[in-house]
Amino acid sequence: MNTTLARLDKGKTAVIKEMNLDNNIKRRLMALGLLPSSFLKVLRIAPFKGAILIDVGGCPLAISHDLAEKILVEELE
Amino acid sequence: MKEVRIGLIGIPNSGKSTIFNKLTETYQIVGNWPGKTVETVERAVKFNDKHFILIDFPGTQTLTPTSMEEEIAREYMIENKPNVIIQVASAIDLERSIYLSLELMELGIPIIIALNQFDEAIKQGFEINVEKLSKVLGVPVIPTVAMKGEGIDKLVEKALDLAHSKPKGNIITYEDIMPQINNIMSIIKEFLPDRYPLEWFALKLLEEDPWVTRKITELDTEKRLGDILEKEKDYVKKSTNMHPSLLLVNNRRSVAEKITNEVRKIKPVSKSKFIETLDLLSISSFGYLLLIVVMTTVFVLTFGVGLLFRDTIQLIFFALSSQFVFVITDPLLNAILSGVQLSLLVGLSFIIPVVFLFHFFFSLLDDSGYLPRAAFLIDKAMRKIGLNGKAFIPLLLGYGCSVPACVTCRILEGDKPRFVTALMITLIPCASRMIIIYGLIAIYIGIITALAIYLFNLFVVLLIGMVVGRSVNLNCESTGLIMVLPPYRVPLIKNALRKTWARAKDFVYIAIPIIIAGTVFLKILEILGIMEHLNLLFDPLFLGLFGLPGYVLSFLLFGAIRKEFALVFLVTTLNGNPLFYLSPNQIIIFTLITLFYIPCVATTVTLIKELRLRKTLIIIGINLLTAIIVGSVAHIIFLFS
Repeated sequence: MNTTLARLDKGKTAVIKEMNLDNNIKRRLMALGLLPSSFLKVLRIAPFKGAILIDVGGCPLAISHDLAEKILVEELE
Repeated sequence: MKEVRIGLIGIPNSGKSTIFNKLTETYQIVGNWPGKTVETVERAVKFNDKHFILIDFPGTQTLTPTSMEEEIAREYMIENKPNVIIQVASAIDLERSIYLSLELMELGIPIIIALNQFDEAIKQGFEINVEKLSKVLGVPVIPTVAMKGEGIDKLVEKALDLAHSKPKGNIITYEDIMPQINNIMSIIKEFLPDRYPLEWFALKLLEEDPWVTRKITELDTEKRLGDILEKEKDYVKKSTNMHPSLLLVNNRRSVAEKITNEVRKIKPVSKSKFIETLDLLSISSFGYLLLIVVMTTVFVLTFGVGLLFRDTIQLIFFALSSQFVFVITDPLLNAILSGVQLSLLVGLSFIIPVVFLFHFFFSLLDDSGYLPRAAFLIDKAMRKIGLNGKAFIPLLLGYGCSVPACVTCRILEGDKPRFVTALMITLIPCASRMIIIYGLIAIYIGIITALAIYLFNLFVVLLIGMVVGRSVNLNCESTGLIMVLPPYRVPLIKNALRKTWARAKDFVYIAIPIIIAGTVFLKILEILGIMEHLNLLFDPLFLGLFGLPGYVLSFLLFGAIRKEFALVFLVTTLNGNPLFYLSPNQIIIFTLITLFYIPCVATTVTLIKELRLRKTLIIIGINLLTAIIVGSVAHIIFLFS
């Protein structure tokens, strides 16, 4: 199912489809291991729709909610 | 023979600063949050009877800089090429470390990898085949545990061996775009000096790296490159359907991922229940409560234990000084002696305990890995101002000292977030201002009022941050949080003590001597009757605005040198007890003004260095304005209550 990273629930895994962010941020995220076709797992979501903690490549990465809204993912069962 | 220059580089939180400390006598602050080494340091080192120069680079994820600290580091590395690079790789963050290795190899400098946090990786169930990693990358890899000093000897030995050899390493070939790279290389080769890595420059041109593009435009005086670069970039875009910069990152990333999977096995391990529960609690809704509890505890402990120390120290001081009773008739000599005595008393009993206690508790917190979690939690609130959670770290450091906090703003991406965060830092009560709050409010009015002052200050800081953030139009996606979360670690007392000393020693060496000199100076002014003139001159202004006597201006002037001087000279001039001269309300107003009125000299110098003069002047202006508004509003409120 296609959705955004921001809409994933805690504990869900997904694969990244597309990142609608400007090149600078995209490059930064990619260097950290977040790029189309990489897998991620949502570890924790800060209260009040806050930042999202994901596991990517075995390491925890925190991302602001508004950035996560622009990352399209496919949720895996 | 010239000494070998070794560059030390690594991704944030790889334990690079710990290795740096093992190699040098001097102590650099190590903490458990991303981005500690914010300035490049070059240092002559003697280690195991070997002499070399060690260059410490700030932690960086990639050689494509996104924050100012990364940009500074990279430019330094290209322009002042080390003979060999020690890359501190994190065994628990292998993929990102390998990514950086791949980029570093492109620079054409011999590199050796310290695979650090090896013990922690084993604990987390990561089994890494070191030999294979070394073979795949084509560079030596030494497993290390920096905290315990394991593997460091071998690392240095190997690095020195490598220094004069040719750079090795299996550099990535970007097959899809090789003709384009070669074409650009053949052109820039004609004007690019030999000391610069040719292929790397070609790649960075394709990536549209601002610094490299600028450099090439400068060097390409005959405009040989012309529009060829644009044509090649367009070609790449069309043929691969991807921007060249993203294509290159993608390439490196997939190689890093592939290597990681080849050399690393993951075994399931049961994590420590305690750590896991703590982690769970610290970033759930309960975490906000925890944050308040943690911060309040730090302040209450500092003030509470500080008061205990103060009483003891004062008792000892009086017992000692009663042994030396002089009868002095000369007023000038008397003034000098009593000035020295008073300032020593204030220095020892007010300043030393509070500063040391605060830095000790804060260091424990710093080492534990709690701060990035607080940053994660607070991200949403910071986004409202237009900043992100990471800005929380320099802001929190601001409670210690504004100077390193302002330098730490470099970990933020973008000029505007840096400006707004630096502004907020100058308004946050640092340890010096904590001494004022402690010495005036906690002692003479009460701990609760002292905490209330902190809360009020926080409110003002957030309000100003929000107003200024809005007016410079901060809120955009480029300021969003992207941060790797380090693991929790049990803080070591020894480490915290070292760090406390490193952070607080200035108060002993610099502040106390100036305090003694300043107090004597003020005492002499008093005897000569100059203070009275000053009072008469400024009384109308200060009484009208803040309900304060004009002589407080002299304390504020001294406070601009170091904030705690405002308190010290107030107390020493008023012969020990301000309550004989000022009402509690006046004390509160005075304290509020000192919180906001101006960045101290050291902070101002730092701000000019970091943000340039114009922005520094704006910050000073906002500081003054805030102090005047807060002070006069408080005065009006007290008048009518």
